[in-house]
Amino acid sequence: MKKNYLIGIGGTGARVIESAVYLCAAGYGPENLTVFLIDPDSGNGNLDRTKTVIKRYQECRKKLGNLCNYDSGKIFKTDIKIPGTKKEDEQLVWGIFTAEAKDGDATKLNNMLGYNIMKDQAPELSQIVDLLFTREELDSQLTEGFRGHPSIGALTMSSAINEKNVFDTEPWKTFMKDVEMMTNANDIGVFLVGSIFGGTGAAGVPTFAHKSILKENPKAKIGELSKIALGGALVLPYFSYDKDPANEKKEKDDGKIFAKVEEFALATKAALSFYNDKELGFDQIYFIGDSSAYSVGGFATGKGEQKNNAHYIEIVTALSSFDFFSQSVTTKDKIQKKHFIASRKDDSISWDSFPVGRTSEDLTKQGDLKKSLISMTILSYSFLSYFTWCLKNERDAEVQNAVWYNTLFRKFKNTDKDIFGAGNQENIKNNFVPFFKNYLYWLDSISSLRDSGSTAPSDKIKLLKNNFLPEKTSDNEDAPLPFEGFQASIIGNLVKEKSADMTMQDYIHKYINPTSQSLADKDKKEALEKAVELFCTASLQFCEDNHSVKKDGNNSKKN
Amino acid sequence: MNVGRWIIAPVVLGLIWLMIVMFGGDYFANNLAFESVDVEDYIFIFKILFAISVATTLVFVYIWYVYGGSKSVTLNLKGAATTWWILFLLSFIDSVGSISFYIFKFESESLGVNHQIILFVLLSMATYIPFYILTLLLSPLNVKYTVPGRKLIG
Repeated sequence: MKKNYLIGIGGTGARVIESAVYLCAAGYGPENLTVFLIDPDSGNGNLDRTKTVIKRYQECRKKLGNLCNYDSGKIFKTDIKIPGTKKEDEQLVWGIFTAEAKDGDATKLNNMLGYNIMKDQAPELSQIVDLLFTREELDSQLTEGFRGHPSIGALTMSSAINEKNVFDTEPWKTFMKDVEMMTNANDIGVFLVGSIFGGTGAAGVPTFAHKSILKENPKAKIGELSKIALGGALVLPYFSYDKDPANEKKEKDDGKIFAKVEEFALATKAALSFYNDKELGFDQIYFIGDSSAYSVGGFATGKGEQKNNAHYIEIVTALSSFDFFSQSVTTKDKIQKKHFIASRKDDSISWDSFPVGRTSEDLTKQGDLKKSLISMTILSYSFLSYFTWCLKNERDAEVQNAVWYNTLFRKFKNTDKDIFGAGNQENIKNNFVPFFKNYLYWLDSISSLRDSGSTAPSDKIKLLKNNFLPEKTSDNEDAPLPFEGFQASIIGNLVKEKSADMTMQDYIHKYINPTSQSLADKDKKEALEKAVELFCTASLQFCEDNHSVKKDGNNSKKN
Repeated sequence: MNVGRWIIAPVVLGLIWLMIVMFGGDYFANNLAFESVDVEDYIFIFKILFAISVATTLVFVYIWYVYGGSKSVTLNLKGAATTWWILFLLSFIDSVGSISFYIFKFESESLGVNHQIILFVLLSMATYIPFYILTLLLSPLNVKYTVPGRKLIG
């Protein structure tokens, strides 16, 4: 079977991978996906978030065993892996620098170049360095990323690849092992994602897309062809962040360098010109950007503070990788070199705005995607509010008399198949609740993007109702959604697209209770599988009834 | 809406009434010695009494079906359980009220305690027992498990 590698480079790469994981959770993704990240800033908040999301995805998937059937796929259907031969060897991030180097000053550019020695022994060379790099750039600690300076990143990455035997360490080791195991051309799809206007992505994408690194690596060669089908998404400027003059001044006073929004366009122009001249090994390449420049939050140079809001362009980019993985590239002659442009009819962003393919036949997939995302949203919300409330109130008459409980679980009371069993409760609390909650907050943060300079969510984004979730704090991060007063929760208005006014009560009446009667093989399945399948099937039905998507795969608008 | 329960309930109650008046009415008419009441009148009152009891039961059953089928009860199952008990109690009161009326009506006949017990059993078969069975087996989905005993049969 073809293997798919999605490699995120830099902060944007990490965020695209996060989006890819959520899309896979919603049932919209390839059969298998191995992901890893390239980022020197291993403390980057975006990276931490992505790591956590992947781990939780894997745990949820393990418990479910692909039981929730959708026409457009299955929730958690994609087998997402992190490279590593054993669990303890799994390595999500290639940090460029070794752990030892990170502890000292070795990660400063001047030390990497041997600038001080150079100054004494080859002053003419040091003058070239002075010409190419500023004092701040030379003194900047690179373990917090390349701060919008791809020239530094490219130099650092190239030297890391050339000096160290990078393919002998994880995550590259597993990747190369997979390459060696494959026997046919294009058996491994590799998709590189990075922003073109920042530091790490702009440096890493051309470095790894260079023919000699992956595409024409001796281990990948198979006659004239390569086992690797190489794709990439170059993310053009698509966001802005809130100006924080005080913080920016402080960083500047500390001698730190950082990316500036006003320099994005210039950096992009330079990078595009570079890509145009350079013969890279890409078989297919996607340029994705957005001129709306919605704000993704506050300014931060790196480390833990860099936790930006998600952006819909990251979904689009993740979708471009799925589009690439779905292509049947077989021989060099048949590889279609096409530029795929993510465009939309107007400047609003709705459930129908996401590009899913390149031909008119692919348009039906748009309905599949919409169905997957909306039903995952409804599933997450109903699971987090009503279901987790029920789990906490096992002895309450509302739970003891509930149809779904009596139909699916009562006969298994005090066994492993009892949903109230300690093991199941623990799994729900540690994996499903945080994952579904992260999914909702992820979608909510996209829906709450603000026009640059504005404090209110943009009315052009028509995905989720704004402010329906409690404000996220470190205290409530993994807690279920509050359910007291759940009867007033308007589940029908959760999605910003006209649907029936429906309270949680109506939803249980119309979808949850009837669905509990019709689940197949009720007695054979594990408790968690049944519970998630129940809420998943009900949400799918809700979506089909309310959001112009059809079950038969013909997902064109009803009207 | 499950149409079946709306038809099955009156059919079952109608059959119960028919069986009671056919067999019970004949049995009492043939085996009791009436002093001041005409047997025909007795049979007529017997039929009417049971018809009223059965009709009342049907009303209670229908109230439960309508109430149980409404969306508002979905997350008010405690309230649903209370409502069921109230209706069941009213059904029981219906049977007790009917037997009291009967005893008062035929006070002068000295029909005996055994006769009154048999009659109460028959009235029970026309009131709270069919109410229980018709709600146990044919309740709307939302309130299905609020009926006592339903959890045992699944």
